Amino acid sequence: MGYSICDNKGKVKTMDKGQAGKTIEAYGAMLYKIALVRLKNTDDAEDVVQEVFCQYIKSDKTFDSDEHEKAWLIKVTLNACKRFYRLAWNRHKGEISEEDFLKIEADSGHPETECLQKETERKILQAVLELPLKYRDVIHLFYYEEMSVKEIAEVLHRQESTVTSQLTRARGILKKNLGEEYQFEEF
Amino acid sequence: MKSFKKEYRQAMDAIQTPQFDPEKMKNAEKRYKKAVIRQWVTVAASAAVLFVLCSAGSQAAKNYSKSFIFADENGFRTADEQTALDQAASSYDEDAMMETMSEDVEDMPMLTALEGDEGAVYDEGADAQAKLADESDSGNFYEECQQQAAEYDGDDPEITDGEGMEIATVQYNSRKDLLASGITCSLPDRYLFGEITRERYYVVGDDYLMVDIESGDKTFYMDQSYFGNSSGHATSTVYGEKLTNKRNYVTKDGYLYVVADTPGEEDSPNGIHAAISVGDYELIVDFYGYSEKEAFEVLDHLDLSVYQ
Repeated sequence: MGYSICDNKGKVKTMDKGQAGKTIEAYGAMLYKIALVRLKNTDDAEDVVQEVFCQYIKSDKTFDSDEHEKAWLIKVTLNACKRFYRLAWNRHKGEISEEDFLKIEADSGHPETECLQKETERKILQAVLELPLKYRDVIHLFYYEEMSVKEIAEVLHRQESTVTSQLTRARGILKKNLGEEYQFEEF
Repeated sequence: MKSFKKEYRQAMDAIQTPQFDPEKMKNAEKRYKKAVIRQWVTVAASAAVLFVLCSAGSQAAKNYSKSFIFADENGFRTADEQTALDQAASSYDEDAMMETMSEDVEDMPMLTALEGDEGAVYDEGADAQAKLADESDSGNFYEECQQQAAEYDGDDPEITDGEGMEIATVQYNSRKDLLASGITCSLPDRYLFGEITRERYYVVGDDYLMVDIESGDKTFYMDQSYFGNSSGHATSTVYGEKLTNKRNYVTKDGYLYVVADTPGEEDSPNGIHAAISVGDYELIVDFYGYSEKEAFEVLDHLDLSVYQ
């Protein structure tokens, strides 16, 4: 039993259910967060990830390793996000909403601590989402996905020196906006 | 000192992630189409709000007949003649603008095109609109229209949130079906695209058409807007990357496009973007993965006489 999807030429592609489910489970959250940081819109991010998995199931691509598969999925996600970028009007309404921030779950169990934690999380997310697009990508991939400069350069098709420079500039902006209370790990 | 990495990871971990159920993958394409349509409904609805605002505030714009096209580093902005001139008077070097106008208008009567050289009106990508809203002196059409509407001394225009507007959207999966619908449009000959791997056409309301044609690693988009039913308008198309190499291109039939590039990022496809206003129509055409020669060949084969 597998998943069947028609490709662009009408040919039916089938993927083993276990294989697809495993990939979706392993990478769904990661790709959703990458798309969210890019698009700043939860619905669009979800749509993009669905599309990416759809392409994944359709594709005949074989991967040398898990890392290769992960890099491919990230690249496809970033490209799918570009499609959503074309429309200025979409950007006009596309900001992540207050409601989305409120969905952030704190798990401290203590109301005051929980409130402070939520506020800190909201502040830090806001600061990252306010960064220009090219800086948001590198900050997220470096600090959240813990990718190296070399890996980021590969998935973003940028020079390593460009990524390093963008990380430095992004940190500068974040320091300015968040104050000096944060320490940024070096790359 | 707090660790940025730790705090950011905590914040991201706390964001709820939707369940990506493998069963939903069967409907993924349908869902994606819905997302595209949702965007276009927003485009149409937002533009409709602007029509109301502009027509309420700018009586002189009733004689609308031409659109002006501004290209800066972030994209194209278009506006009816009156709005564009009002805007130019406050934000641009008027002498330089008029000089450009006289050259373009006299030499190319089918088109009125302007290029704003100021740049930096927008920030990049997704930040563009937010910054636009914050900048009062940077050529903000939306703010201008809203101010005009606020000053209007007649009945209050009905301003409806885009989400709440019902605009019919029809999707066609073949050019034959699209043309059978009777819509006014010009499409390049199929042979120019080679083997087409996907083609979609979305008609939103009576005024908008989006064409999306993919052939291998090349993608052709065309947005067609009709403004004949409005007394004024202002629109904006922003790209994720900065527009460079602004120039004009005159087709074999004598139509003049405002053209600019987005360079892409090494292996990712470059973009070539062209905008033109003909009669009551505006076209924004995007080529991804095309060489300039290929893109211009497609422009040469667009029969714009249907719009006049």
